[in-house]
Amino acid sequence: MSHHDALIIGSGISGLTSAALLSKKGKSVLVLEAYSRPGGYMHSFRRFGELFDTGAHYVGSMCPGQPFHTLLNYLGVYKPEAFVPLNPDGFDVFHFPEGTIRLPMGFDRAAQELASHFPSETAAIKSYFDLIQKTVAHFPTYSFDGDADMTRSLEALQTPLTQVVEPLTQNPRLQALFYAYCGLHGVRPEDTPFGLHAIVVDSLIRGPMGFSKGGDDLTKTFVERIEAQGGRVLMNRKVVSLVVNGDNVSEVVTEKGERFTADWVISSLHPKTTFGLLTDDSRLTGLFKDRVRQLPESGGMYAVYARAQGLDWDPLQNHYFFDTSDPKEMFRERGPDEIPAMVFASLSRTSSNEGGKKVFSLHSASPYKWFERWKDTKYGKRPDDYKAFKDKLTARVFAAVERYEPGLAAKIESQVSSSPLSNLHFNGSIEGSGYGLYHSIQNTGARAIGPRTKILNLLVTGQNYLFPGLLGASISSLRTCGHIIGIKPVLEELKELGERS
Amino acid sequence: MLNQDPVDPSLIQQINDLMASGFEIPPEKLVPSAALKELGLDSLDAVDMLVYIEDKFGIKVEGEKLTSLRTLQDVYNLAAEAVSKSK
Repeated sequence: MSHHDALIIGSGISGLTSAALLSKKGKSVLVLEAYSRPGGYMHSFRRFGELFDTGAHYVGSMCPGQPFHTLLNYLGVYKPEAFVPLNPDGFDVFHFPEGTIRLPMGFDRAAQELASHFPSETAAIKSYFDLIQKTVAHFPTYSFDGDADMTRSLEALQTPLTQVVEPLTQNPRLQALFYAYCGLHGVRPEDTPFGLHAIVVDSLIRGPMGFSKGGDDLTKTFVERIEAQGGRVLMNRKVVSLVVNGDNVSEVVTEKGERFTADWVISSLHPKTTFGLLTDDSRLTGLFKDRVRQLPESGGMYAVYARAQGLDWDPLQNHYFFDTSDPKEMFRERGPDEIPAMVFASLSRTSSNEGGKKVFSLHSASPYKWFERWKDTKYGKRPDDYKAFKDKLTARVFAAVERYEPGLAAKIESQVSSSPLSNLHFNGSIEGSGYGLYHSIQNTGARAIGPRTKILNLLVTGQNYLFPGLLGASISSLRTCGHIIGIKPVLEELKELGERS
Repeated sequence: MLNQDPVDPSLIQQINDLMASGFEIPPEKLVPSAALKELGLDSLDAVDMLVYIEDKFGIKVEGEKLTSLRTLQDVYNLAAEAVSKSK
């Protein structure tokens, strides 16, 4: 049995951020990962010779001096060659039935471009972007300002996106455009905390970058850094129980029967999983347990990974294909026989997109309930009716894109797809959800769970406890580790590093 | 600051019910002057309390006020203030 300053459960970006940060500060850390490879949602995989990313499609605030760039740099895991700037003239392309809008990098250019599509809404567009920039300044782990006004950030997390947008503009098409990024976290606009939305928009408009070598490359850099700082990352170590002794977790036990001890235990698993591992949960109140049990999950994703020939797509752009520009309809749950309301297309940023060849993934919302009847079947051995259902879903995803890109299906050379069950298999996410729990105003800000728990040395981290996505999960670990090493000095160092970049 | 008008007895009763069932606090300890700390409640419980009160009464409580709660009376007042604001 070995003892560490901190044991970290899960090796997604939040677990790795925690391990890199704590080991940088001289703490001995051990990361336990259930799967055979580290990375969580940063996993890349190869099919028909191409590299695909499951979650690391693009990330924001990655220019020098911006938050995510600064954080990765601070943790010693930033390698310029691992990232590629997306097309500054239009990194995201929004397709609506009435027309296509390309969002350029930078707030001034973005406002100008939007105004050219909505000339009578210039004031609304300006106010919207101003509000976003003002709001993000109140988030200490994003602005790296330890003195940021938390009452303002909590307020922004209690305010639904629709409540900010509707007074600004009555134009449903502009509203739809403002809501388009809700596709990135699966929370409907009326439930989306404006503060979360502001961080998503701010980070993407300021510094959108793709992964030139896939998400696995960032994972590898993290693991190397952690090991260089004396930490370890162990695979195939599924944690099966957290032994509670008095006020603390005294031992962490894996499926193999290994037992580890640590001063601190940080779990990046879902709260439903984390608290279910406690051998004694009598320190948790009935009210808390009820809350955890009732937390709703974000929706599942159906993804098609494909290679096409003769497709005229810029590898440095993403596409959002909407079947409607009605703000009330664009995120309504649709049935498996309907065209998806939105499909997100992300191209591979590796050098594989040469000539007429294009490698990309298409993601669309797909609730777990569509797949639940196959939940007890095994990955790789699922029955024919599951495969037939997937074929049907693939066809509907292609149909949604073909509205804007006629003939797409005929250009596909090879394709493979994944469902929420695949996500459940690889990431252990409850109901195969794409973004952990549903990040509505009901589950965020003052109402969020963690990072402290009633078990004194058990902290929680990751997208379930702050914001979804690589950036959200990563900065959640600043907050979590702040309880061990103190957040203020870390924020001060980050701020200073950002200003020097 | 907090609303100092007498708090609606039915609101008090509902909060006391929450304390008894959700936090397993003996009802006889639920007097307005009881310090939350003495009742075994900490800042994590305050978050659960906020979530419960918001959902039960369909109101918004200002999250940052949680840190200033000391006694059960403070909880009554905070809930009463949120209820009256939502009307």
